[in-house]
Amino acid sequence: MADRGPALPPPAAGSTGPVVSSVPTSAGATGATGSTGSTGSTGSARSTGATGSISQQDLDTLNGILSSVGGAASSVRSAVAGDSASPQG
Amino acid sequence: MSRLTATAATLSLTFMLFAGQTGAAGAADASGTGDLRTAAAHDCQLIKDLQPVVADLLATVDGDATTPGSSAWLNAQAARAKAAGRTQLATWLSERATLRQEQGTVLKTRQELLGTGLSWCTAHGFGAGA
Repeated sequence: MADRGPALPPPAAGSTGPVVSSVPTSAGATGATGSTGSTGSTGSARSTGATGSISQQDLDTLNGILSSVGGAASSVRSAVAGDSASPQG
Repeated sequence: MSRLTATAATLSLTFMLFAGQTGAAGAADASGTGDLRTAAAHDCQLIKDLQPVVADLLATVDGDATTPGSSAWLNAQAARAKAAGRTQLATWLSERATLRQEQGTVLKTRQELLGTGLSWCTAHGFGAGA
């Protein structure tokens, strides 16, 4: 069995979506739910390259990270831009 | 302000790539083993692209009173508004400063999450230069 490297946080139990449950979604962070449509993902379809195998679950988690980070970054960027253009004291 | 513009452009480009290649829902679904590696490589590239974007945003949020949009800048504006007798504006700016601090905290956790993803990418051959 190939070394799979460091484990990513698993998707929430009973969910097929990459919900990164350990990350707060407050303070205007949006887009934290990145549905991947990964139906039937069992993790059995894995490549076995020298750098470790990859499962659909890994991809789901990566997509969850991207959605979560992208949503938060977009939210903060919009807020910063809006405040910078707002009436100043 | 130019940093903000550059950040906006980079972020927009990243999102365009993300939406265009993986679908609007952020999906990189793959059924075959070859597709899994291709999708993972794509995701890892996006993670690498997002890192400087998030770092730049955090630099803005955590900037000093001369950095427009930072929490310190908002607090300074609130103080100026209060001194000028514009109490409602001062209150609004102060609340925005608090919100900006909270957003910074959230963004830091997301940055850590990116680090987790990047570690996985590096361990699977999708690190720098991959």
